[in-house]
Amino acid sequence: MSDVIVSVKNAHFSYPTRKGSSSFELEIPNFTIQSGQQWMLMGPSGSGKSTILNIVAGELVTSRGEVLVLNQRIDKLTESERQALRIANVGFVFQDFPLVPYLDSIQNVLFPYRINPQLKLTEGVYNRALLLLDNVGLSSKSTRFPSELSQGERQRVAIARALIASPRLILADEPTAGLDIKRSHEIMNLLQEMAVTQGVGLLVVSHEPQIVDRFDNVLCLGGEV
Amino acid sequence: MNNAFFLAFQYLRATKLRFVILVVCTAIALSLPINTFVAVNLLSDKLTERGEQTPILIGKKGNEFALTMNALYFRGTVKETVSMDVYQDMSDIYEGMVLPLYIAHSASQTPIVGSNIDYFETRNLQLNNGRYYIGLGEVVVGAQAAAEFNLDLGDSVRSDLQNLYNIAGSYPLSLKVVGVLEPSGTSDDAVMFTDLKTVWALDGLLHGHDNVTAETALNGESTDENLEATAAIFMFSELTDSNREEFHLHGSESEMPISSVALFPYNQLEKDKLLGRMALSEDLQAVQPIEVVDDILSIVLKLQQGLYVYYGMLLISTIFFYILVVHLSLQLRQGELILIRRIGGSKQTIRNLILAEIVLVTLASILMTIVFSWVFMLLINVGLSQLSG
Repeated sequence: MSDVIVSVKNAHFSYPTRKGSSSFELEIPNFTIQSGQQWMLMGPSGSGKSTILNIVAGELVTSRGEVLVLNQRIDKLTESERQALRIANVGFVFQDFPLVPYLDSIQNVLFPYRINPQLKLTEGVYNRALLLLDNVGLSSKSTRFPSELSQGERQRVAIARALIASPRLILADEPTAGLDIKRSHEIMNLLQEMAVTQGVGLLVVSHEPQIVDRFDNVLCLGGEV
Repeated sequence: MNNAFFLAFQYLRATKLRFVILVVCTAIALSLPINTFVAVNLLSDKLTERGEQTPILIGKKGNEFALTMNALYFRGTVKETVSMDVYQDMSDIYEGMVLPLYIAHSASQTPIVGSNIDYFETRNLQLNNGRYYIGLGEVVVGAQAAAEFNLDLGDSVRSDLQNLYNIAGSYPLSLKVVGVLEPSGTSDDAVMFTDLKTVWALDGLLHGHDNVTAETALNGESTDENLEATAAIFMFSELTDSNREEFHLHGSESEMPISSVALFPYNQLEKDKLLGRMALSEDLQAVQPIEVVDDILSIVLKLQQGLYVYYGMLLISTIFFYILVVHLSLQLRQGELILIRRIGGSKQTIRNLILAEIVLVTLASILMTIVFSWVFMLLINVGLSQLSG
């Protein structure tokens, strides 16, 4: 039986209100991500896709209901405990700011080790970073800076970075936004292939319907599973 | 913190221009007060040392500052000279060293100091090459002046014309370099030394010309020896071995002018007696250069205090400028900071990163300040030696 990585039940989220403005209320559909499963979360802009991603990542906390990440109630953890859980088990791929501009590819892959004291940078980690860059087809561009890479290449480096700390779950927020269909499929091929190879769960947030067929599990906000 | 420093270094390397501007601005703000402090102290030491080495100056009553600057630092001329008999009187009365000084001429804008041979021993000036002057028209050149004008033994230097429009005045003379001094680090390095008669020759008071005969005299029929020369008679413009004997003084040596007399009394009692005696003089004054130097320095120190207030404001504005730069750069780096937070970095991680950047900029600024101050020290030393010259 597969391990449950994420389990969401009857969860509700609301942003704190300001005086005179209405709050953002979000009823989160129930879903469970098991080890090795790949999920897609889709819906129109403003429907709360990124909010759910942030809740699963432990950056936001639900107002009621239950969100379990690796069998731990995320709303019951302190901020530092959520952070520790995130560092050890979650890898991220973003569209809006994929890489640190002043670091080359290899250092971008190693970036989580530079900012998290609980991750120790060793020669083995460095070799793993080189291997991951090789896996995403960028072994010859390990010393290139983001400004010297194409958008697709930057996303490949981001995928390698997401996998460097051997996470149990990858959260990808609009990883193909801004890419043409061909490159979108290339990136998704790589992301899904790497998730399978590394045996991690995958939750992709996207509003692009052309990639929906790639997933067995799709969660539509305002729709149904 | 190692990782924070690594990332900070990478960031600063990627934003070189911003980094260099920050470092240079901070280094300037830091080095200005340091350099001012160093400059004032060096100036103070140099002036005080020279002042202390010259206990008393005797000159015509008037501007003490002008007298001191002329006798110690060879700057400017005194308005009124004293006669040689003042020097002779002082030499007769006091057992300490008494030196006549006459500084009124220059060669290539380098002051010519007229004195006697005792000056070198009193100021502890050593010859690097050649010998001291012994005859008319010979000069001994300070180390800096020799280097600046590439002068060596046997070379000639022509004195500067005193008054271009006075055609009846004295002519420039060609002077022969017979010695070059060792560097002393004082104003003596940037001048030329000669005997008093040579300076009087530059004044035209001691001069040489063709023999006046009955044929070239206005009163050629005169039977006595007082022949009056015509203006057409040839005046020597160079002191050579062949014409040196022809130079002669019109008038008594005791009436010849000098700028001042420097006295080096043996003890305090002798000094006090001299000052007491000079206080009674109607036309002469005794100046203690160290007091004049102290007066100058008190003005400099007041200026320095004012400058420190200004530098303090400059430093504060630099700190605000730096805070603004950091603030704006953090706004520009919002994406990076969000990324750090998203992939597990804490607020402390971000604080460490910023702190590491501040530390690196500060260290680089301190290094740059040291470089600036070192360069400034070199320049100020050159400047002070020129000032003292």
